[in-house]
Amino acid sequence: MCGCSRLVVSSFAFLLSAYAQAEVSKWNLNSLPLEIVSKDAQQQTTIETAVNPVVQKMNAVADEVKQLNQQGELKNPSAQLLELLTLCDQWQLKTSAKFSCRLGGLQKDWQAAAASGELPDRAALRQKARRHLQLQWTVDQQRVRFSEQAKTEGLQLDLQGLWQGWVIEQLTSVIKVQDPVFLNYGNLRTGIGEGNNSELIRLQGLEPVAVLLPKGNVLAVIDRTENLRKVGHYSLSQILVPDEGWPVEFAPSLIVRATSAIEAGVMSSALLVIPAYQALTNANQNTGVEVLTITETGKFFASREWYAGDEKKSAERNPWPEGMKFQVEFEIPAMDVAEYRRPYVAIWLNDTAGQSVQSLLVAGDSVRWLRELRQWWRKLGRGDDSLIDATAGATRKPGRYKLEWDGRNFQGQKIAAGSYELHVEIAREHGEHEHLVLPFSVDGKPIRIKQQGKQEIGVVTLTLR
Amino acid sequence: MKSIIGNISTPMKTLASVLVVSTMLGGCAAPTAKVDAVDKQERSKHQADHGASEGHRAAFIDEYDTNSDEQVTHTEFNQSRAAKLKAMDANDNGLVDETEYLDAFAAELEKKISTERKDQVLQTEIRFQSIDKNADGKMTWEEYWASGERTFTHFAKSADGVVTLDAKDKEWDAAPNADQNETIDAEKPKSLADISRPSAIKMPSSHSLEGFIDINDLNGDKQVTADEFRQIRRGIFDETDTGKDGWVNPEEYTLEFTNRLDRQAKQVRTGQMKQAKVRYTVLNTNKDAGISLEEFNVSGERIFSGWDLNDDDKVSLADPLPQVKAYSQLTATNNQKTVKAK
Repeated sequence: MCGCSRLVVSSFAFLLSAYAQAEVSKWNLNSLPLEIVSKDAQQQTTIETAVNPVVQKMNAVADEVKQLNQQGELKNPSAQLLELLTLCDQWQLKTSAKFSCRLGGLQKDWQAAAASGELPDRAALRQKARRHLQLQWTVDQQRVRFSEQAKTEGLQLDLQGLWQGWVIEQLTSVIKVQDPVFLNYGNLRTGIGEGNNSELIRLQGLEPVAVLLPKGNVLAVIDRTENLRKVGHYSLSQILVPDEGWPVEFAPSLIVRATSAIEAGVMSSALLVIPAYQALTNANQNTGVEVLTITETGKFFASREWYAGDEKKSAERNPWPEGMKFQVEFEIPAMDVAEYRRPYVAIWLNDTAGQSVQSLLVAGDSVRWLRELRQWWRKLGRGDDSLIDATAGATRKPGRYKLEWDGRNFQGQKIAAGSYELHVEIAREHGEHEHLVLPFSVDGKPIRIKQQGKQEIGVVTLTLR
Repeated sequence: MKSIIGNISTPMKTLASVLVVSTMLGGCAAPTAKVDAVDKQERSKHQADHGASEGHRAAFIDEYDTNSDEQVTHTEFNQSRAAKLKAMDANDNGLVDETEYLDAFAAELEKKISTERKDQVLQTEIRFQSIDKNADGKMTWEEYWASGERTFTHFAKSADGVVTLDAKDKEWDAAPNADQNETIDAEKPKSLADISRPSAIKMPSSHSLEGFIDINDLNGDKQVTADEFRQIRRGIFDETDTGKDGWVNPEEYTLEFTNRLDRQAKQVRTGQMKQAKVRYTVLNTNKDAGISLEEFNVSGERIFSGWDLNDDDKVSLADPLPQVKAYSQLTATNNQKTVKAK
């Protein structure tokens, strides 16, 4: 038999199509469940035949990693292990150490902390983490060996998302069937073959989120309410910030979509350990990766191409004809004053019931000054640290700026036709506070509205054309 | 805003123990049979023990002002308080036991510490730039010394004087260009945004006379000579320069600060959790399995009436602040001052 377990489940509706009856096979791979689903028993047998030897091999590689961690060296490493070690170094470099395989020793410290109930010393842990990021190993034909320093320091490899992504890539290369097949391993999921390209993600406390999954793409899902570790009375994330050795704070839930499984796995932790705003900016610049972050209050912030392809497929009404753009232009005037400090600016949208609909800009990231944007603070900033984390960027210098809105609200849905308000709020130290409101109607017709600020902000123009 | 890198070891144990002691002695004392029988002196006892400043009141409003109108009505308070207890009651049995209480407190504390910490770290870049006068990304000893010397001269009245507590002069109570928070336009009416909240991490600050002496008094004689000051500063500079290249770069500066910040936060956590444990026993008046809504409301009433001194059934900036002598040394509009225990 296969060393796995198999189930028949009825009406398994997922990624690819609603199978009236589907076959699910499960394996235990390096202590994480691997699940593969296909449409019938015959297909599943073909899959199992192909997958079994690969799973066996990968469990053996996982054992090699364990041995390397225990002994500090390993004789006759497999080609796969060597490949993984190379990938570790490449991805640590590529992510500027926002992802690292070298945090196993720090994880052990946290396991000990959970057992004792005492938080570790943060300053000491920081120094240890920074040392561990630099630790090395040597590779020659017969052996992998940790450096003497690595052995003394207690370096432990923990491949995390890289492992999961690598596993998915090994598996997808051996599964050759006609009909769609679904894979789920750890935080990653993907499909092989054609399908309807939409996945329903369930996060705790939220309505299921429909996510596009084009062919060849992989999703990584990190639910912020899971993977928590209790240390005494403190409840902390299990995901550590590599150069701090400390659990990430303010982490949102995250869904990453990437064209490679390894990239999805690696970026799911690399993007989580930086402020969400930076993660979104990063994804906007990286063509292979898209990101959806969901704050603790359930607000969605997506990278620019997250919804790409959705327009044609989804049945959602479009608030305005395709090709029209909703833009806001504004000016921060130059000022000839002593000790000029750049103003804090927030631009957002409300409906006429006063509910906030979307945030377009938050320029300035210090809570002390964000509080000065009183309307924004009341509506959005107050009590939502992860919103601030997802939207607040640097202050802007005097000049003209343009923003664009895709017509989606905080739940990622396209807004309905109707009346709305654009709010622009600005506050400058030793200067004034101003708040402009531009009411407008969304009815598919072009819009052009202007308003002039008093002194801190110049002309604000809203256009839909 | 200027900042001085302070001494790494600071007497924060003193502050923590003062707070613990005052809580144990006064705490949220056993409730009287009728809250309205509480007499005037007893009225703001909670504030006397936990803080009676503008900042403490602003923090109270932050916590209970559900409709964001910068005030807390009695109804709002009751609802908010009941919701707070419910949120703490993890197993939903109507009582908050010690574990639930401390878990909830730890989460709240950690959030405050994290937020404040994040903001402080963001400010280090600005502080570095204000010391790095020639803006070359390298803080030299001369630049660092110059930033400290100004504060010394300010308190000592001359470059080779001595800084003593006796020199305390109301007019000179703060260092030049002290904390940004304090540069409020006197003519503008104060709003909630203008008020500094009490610091969760309470970093010792050399922006007050006491803080300056605390940080720089090398031989413990409660005064700081020019020599002492120079020695301390040089020591800190050299320690911060981990790269040993003769100057401090932004990374080294930030690292030194965050290490100091986190050591301070650790002490705060320990002190605060101790206090929370005491508070639990005080709140759970009948010593049963947990705090009930009734018990929680009794303590709530005490807190509310201690702030609502104009008796208009709401807590706002319009209320006069409690005049509680016992806490006067700890009460300050600049919440970053350090404290001397007597």
